[in-house]
Order: sequence, then C-alpha cells, then structure tokens
Amino acid sequence: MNNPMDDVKNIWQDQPLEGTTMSLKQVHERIEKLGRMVRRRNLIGGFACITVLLGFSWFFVALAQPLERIGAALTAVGAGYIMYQLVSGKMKKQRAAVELQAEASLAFYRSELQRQRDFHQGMWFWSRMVIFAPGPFIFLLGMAQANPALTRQALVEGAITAALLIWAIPKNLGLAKRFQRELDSLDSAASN
Amino acid sequence: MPGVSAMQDTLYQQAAVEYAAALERLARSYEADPEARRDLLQDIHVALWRSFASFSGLCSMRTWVYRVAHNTAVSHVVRERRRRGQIMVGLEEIEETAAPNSDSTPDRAQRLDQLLAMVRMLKPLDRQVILAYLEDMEAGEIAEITGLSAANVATKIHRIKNILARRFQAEQ
Repeated sequence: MNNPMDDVKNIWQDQPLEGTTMSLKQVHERIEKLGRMVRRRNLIGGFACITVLLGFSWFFVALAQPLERIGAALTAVGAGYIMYQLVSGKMKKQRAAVELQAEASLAFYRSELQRQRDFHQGMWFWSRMVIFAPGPFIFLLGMAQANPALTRQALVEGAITAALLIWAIPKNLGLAKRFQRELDSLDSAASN
Repeated sequence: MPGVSAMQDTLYQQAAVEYAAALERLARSYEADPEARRDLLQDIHVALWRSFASFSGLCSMRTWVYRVAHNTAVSHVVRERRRRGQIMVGLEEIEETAAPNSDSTPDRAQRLDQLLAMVRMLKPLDRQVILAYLEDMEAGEIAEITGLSAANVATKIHRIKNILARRFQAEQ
C-alpha cells in the first residue's frame, strides 16, 4: 500500500512546471539590468535630494529674514539626513544580503526583521524627527514675520506639517511593534 | 581572480541544472503572480551565482542552494507583504483550522492548487520546513537549512503530516 504522504509529495514534485532556468549569459544580463535599475533609482533619489537641498539653500542665501534663513538651513540639513538614512539603510540591506545569503534561514530572516524594526524606532526614527522637524516650523515662522500678509498661509502649512509629523510617530512605532511581534513569534517558533 | 570566477560559473551551472525544477517549485510557493514569480526566480538564480563566489564546501551543495533560494524568497516576501498587506499564519494555526469542505473529490490539479494555497499562507520559516519536507529532505538537512534544532524540525514535521493527512488524505 502506498504511503499517503508519498502521494502528497508526488503531487508536489510532479507538478507541471515551465522549465525555467538561466544560462550564465542570462544571469550576467540580469545583473546588468538590476544594476541599471539601481542606478536609475539612485539618480531619481539623488535628484530629489539635490532639488530639496538646492531649493532651501537658495532660500538661505536669498532671504533676508534670519528666522527664514535658519529654517531653510535646518530643513536642508533635515532632508539631507533623511536621504542619508535611506541610502545607508539600503546599503546595509545590500551588504546583509551578500554576507548572510547562505546563512541558515532563521538568522537571515531575523536580521531582515531587526533591520526593518530598527528603521522605525529608537535612534534611527527619533533622530530623523528631531533633526527634520524644527526646520519647516522656524521657516514658516520667519515667513510670517517677514510677510504678515502670509501669516494665515504659514499657519495652515504649519498645521499640515505638524499633523503629518504627529501622524508619523504612531505609524512608525506601530510598524516597529509589528516587526517586534514577528521577531518574538520567530523566536518562539524556533524554541518550540 | 579568474580561478574563483571559473569555479563560481561551474558551480552555478551545475546547481542551475540539478535544482532547476526544485527552484521553480520553490518560487511557485512564494509567489502566485506569474510575472512576479519569473522575476523572483531570476533573482534566486542571480543570488545563487553571486553566492558561489564564497562557497567553501562546508555544507552540501543542496543545503547551500536551498538556503540561498529561501533567503532570497524571504526578502521578496517581506518586501511584497508590506505592499500587499498579506497575512501569514503559522503551522499551529493551520492545524487548528478545519480542512475546507468540498462536495466533489478534487482532482490532482485541484489538490495541487489547494496545497499551494496553503503553503503560500504560511510564515516563512514554516513554509521552508514544509517545502523541504515535500522535497523529500530529512529532518537533519532541514535543520541545517533553516537553523532550527532537529527536535524543533521533527515537531514541525509531525504537525505538517497531521495537516496534510487531514486536508489531503481524506479526499482520496
């Protein structure tokens, strides 16, 4: 009599496949394609970063009101810092993918979850908030002082910025908690 | 270093031929969408080729190939889940849920679809254990691939057998 488990295994192993495999040439082509995609993404990201930096640097140079200038400088620094975090986070991920790619899956998955969790909490998250948050408010305050007619606009923009920053706190901490829960469940699955 | 590169190419070609079908099955269990699955499979092949630059032979080629393939697939799952908001469950939860009722006896293709649907619901580590089990691997080798203890793997295999028996055996 057949072992019933063998039957399930046969269904699995004999499933119809497309017969996809890759020659060395195709692997190298794929690596080149991936490289082009990464370069294009970096170019777009870099362009956005430089636009923000140049925009606020221009405000810093062109505006006369001291608060506007300080706000512009801080916003440029904050945007630069966020870009730095995104780029270094991506590099860390790429390094881990190479270094840990042949590690046992448990270690690999754990490091992946830890990296994602850390991005949304602790030093990584709070330093982003502390460095980025003051710039736009100081800039808007300066704008309202320099042009009292724009006070209403500055208030609306300030309220929107504050709402977005406040929303980002529970959103990020919630994500960090979710990753921590997954880490806990991974550890419990590993110790069962 | 041409020596390393030539060895890397040789190892990759050997693995690509020997494990082509297993890698395709693995990609199927991680991605339902055909287009995304083709991309995932290509990413797995690229990761494999890259990994052979540091293959030292401390573990078997089969263990190495499965580790790299699963790790690439896990990164894919983590990335895609954030985008799609997919919910995954553990073996314990699957074990507690009743097998889907069906009036007619499913044919082989339907049973494969049911099996795939169930595997795709699982959390990565449990998914790896069930896939390795379906690929006929021994508990020791599954432990080496996943990093779980042999005892833990044995418990999971016991659960897997229960689940498969309840869901598929009864339908024969």
